Amino acid sequence: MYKLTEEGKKYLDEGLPEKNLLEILKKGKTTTEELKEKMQNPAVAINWARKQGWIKIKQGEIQVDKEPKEYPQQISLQKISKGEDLTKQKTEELLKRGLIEEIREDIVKQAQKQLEKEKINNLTPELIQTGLWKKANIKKYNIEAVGKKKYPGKKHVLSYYIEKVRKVFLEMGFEEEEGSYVESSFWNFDALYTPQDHPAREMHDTFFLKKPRKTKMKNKELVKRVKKIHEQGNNESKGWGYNWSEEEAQKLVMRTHTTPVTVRKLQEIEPPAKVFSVGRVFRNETLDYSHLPEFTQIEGIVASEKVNFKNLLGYLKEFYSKMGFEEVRFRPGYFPYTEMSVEPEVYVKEKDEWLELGGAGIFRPEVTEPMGIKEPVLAWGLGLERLAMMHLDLKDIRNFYYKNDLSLLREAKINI
Amino acid sequence: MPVVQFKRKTLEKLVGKKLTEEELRNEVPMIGCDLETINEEEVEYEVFPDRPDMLSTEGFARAIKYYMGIDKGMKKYPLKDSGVKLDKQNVKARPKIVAAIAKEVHINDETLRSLMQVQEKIHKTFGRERKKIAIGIHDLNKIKPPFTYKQVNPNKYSFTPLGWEKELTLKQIREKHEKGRYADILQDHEEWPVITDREGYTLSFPPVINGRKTELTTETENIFIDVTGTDQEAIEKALNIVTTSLAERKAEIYTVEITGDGKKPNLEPEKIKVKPEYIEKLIGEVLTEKDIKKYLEGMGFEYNKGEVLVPPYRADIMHPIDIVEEVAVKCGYDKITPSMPKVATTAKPNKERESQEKVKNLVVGLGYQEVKNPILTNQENHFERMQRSKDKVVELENPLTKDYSICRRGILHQVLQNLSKNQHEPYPQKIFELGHCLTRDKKEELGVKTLTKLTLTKTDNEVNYNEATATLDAVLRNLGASYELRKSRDPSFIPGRRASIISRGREVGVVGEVHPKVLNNFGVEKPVIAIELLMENIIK
Repeated sequence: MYKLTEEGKKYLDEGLPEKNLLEILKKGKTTTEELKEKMQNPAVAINWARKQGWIKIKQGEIQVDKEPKEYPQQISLQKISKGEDLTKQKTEELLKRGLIEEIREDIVKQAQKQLEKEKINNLTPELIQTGLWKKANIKKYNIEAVGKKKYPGKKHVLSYYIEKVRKVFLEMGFEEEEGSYVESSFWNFDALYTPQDHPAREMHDTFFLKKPRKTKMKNKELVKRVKKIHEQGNNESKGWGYNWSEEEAQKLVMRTHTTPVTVRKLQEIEPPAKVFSVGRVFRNETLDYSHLPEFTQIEGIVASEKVNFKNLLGYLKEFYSKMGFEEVRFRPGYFPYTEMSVEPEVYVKEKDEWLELGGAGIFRPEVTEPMGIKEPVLAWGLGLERLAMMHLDLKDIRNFYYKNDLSLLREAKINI
Repeated sequence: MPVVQFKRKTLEKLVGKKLTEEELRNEVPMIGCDLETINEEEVEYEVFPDRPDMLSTEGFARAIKYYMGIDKGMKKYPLKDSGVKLDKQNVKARPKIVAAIAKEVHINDETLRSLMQVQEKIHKTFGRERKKIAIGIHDLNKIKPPFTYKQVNPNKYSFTPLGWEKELTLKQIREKHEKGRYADILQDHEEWPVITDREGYTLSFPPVINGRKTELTTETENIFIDVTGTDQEAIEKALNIVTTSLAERKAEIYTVEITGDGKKPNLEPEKIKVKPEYIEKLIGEVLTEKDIKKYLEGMGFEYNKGEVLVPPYRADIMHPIDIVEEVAVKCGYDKITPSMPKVATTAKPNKERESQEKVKNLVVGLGYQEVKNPILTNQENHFERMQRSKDKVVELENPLTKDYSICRRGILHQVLQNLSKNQHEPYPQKIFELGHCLTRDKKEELGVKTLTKLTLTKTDNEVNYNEATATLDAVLRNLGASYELRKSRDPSFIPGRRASIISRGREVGVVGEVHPKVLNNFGVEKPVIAIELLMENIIK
């Protein structure tokens, strides 16, 4: 039994050199020099073609002498590749030329041995190489049996959501920004016009840091502007009317929202600008089936002279529609740093209920002015985990971060 | 946020019409509050903290009447002069006081309940647990004006507080009385405030407790209201909210003259200038000046040529933008059509995020399942169970529980915990997390540096060091990072089967077989190989 050598396989695919030479010559005569550019191994080709009397060389030029009707060795190569037999003479020719070789005896023997069984369990390399598979009776399987379980490498289901959210905002032309989990009270609260005696700033809502405890504010001018806006407002605003303390603003916290990321950004942007951020936030809340002390917020701002409240609703509607929620409704909300404030809700068909997913609004002028922004800034901070909970039909939000149940993660569908 | 309960009947009586469940469920929240519960008898709403005027049943009903179009334009609350004076002395601990008198109140269970509710809820939120505002309400017929607001020695001064039979000193009240904890607000001061009448009877020890004798009963007809605190504007608003609520029930309101401050309450509307173009531009709907006037009157305001009169009970109007909101709410958030503007900007993904996604895809390709653990963790798991020493850890001041009291510097201890909880799941288990860790660093603006770390583990009946290094090599080679392995002393791993990963001359992580002692500490019963990698030097 024979099989093709590496060279044999090459000629099977690319054609024998002498055949290729004839193809070239059909278009006109050529020289040895020119041939080097047009084909590989011209010397081998010329040698073989001359032996067969197909070409002649006159004054350094090569031309067709007698064009063959067919190329028998090319046919032989094809036959071998299909496992068909050749005449002894043809076999000898190819062997001599090194285009085929005998299949190792032990392989043939192994294949023959495998054939002794009534039915073949597995197709083997020996059966395939020797072509003896033709005589094999391959055992039939119960093809209707469902495949055994396999666990591919996968991302966490929340990662798929985060990727989708990122894609949606990037498609809409937003710039992505990241911030730090640790923030100063200044950026987490004061810059957002949240008065220093606001309940959200108390220990039972916010995690404060012990090590390190404080930071120094470098931008003294900004600190001054924020102090003034809290204490007395600006030309149009009354302010909160209390003594603002820089020391209070220096206290470090685990950020309670991602809004400091976008508010910091207000200092650098030149409207029109659109910025978003997706990241972890922290609240001093007891862990239970519906509350997480750590969760993910989707933050976004649009700053432009042209935008208004209608547009804020437009962006929210567009976002949720891209996330697969067709029906959105808007209810008034309250946040110290936005006015008008709105709470978007999406309709969940499967459950026939409206789901509240966060807050949005237009930043108050008391927030934007100290940052040097005169244009309206639309802003939102939306939840992520609740969307994912619905997708997975989860009742217990602790499945995120606090459980990492492998069966849930392995089985989680990724059609998000 | 404060939650207030109302009897549906009472609310309907005040509004003057029947309120269907549909209205209570879907229409009322459009004023700006969230429905909490509703049944045949009662309804509960969460009122937003900027609307203390909606904490009383009367104030809530007033807001409904405006929103539903039953009322419009500014309410006039007639105010008479009582001739009563209150001598405000220099009270350092709590310098501000205002007061008023309401007659013909005819207290019954319903009004009493409403009064108690508005008082309690204002204390809690707007009043910042009585620090900023405390309200006292007394039976006027049992006291004799004029009144004095003064500071006294808390160790010596005594009176009989509400709920007690005998006199106590102010200090004793702090220790023994159920409301005594509110005296903590005064603790830094040597002298504490009291309000007394002509005969020296103590009406009140603000912000803690009233006197026993002047408690309201269903016999009470006339009442005296005091509001004390630290912020003049806030206490005046609180007084306005209480007195206008009483006026909604046809009570007659009388002023009290405060030394140096004049007669209170002041129910004159405040003025604020707002350009109609500003309102139209920010809402985005077409609004004529006539529309704006109509909408603002519909919310209880007055509008005339760019000047808005604000009702005296509204505490939330500090900037023209707050007037814009009133117009938008009256328009109805459900009636404003969303529209997308054309704001042309260029998308710009965060580079670090993008490269993190590439790393995740690579590791997922190696068959690993991603997990996500909390950023907050504890010292015992992070260091003691890992046999590692604590260093430069970011610590919380007020953790909720000991279990979550520091920020993680690494992820491996959490992943080992994950493995320990998933031992009933099919093996092999290959899990990873790519996430942020925090460490103290004085060079950073906030004194804290964020580190991105990759942690991979595999566990099965048999795993070994060579598999760990092969996986590490697959990751680093594909990220184009050259590296070397050197001897490690990490006590979390088995000696001779652990190595430090060095890249560009820096130690960036560790690879090896997790130490059986560590596995015991976490209750993991099969061998684990692990890689911990700091990504900063690797993905640029």
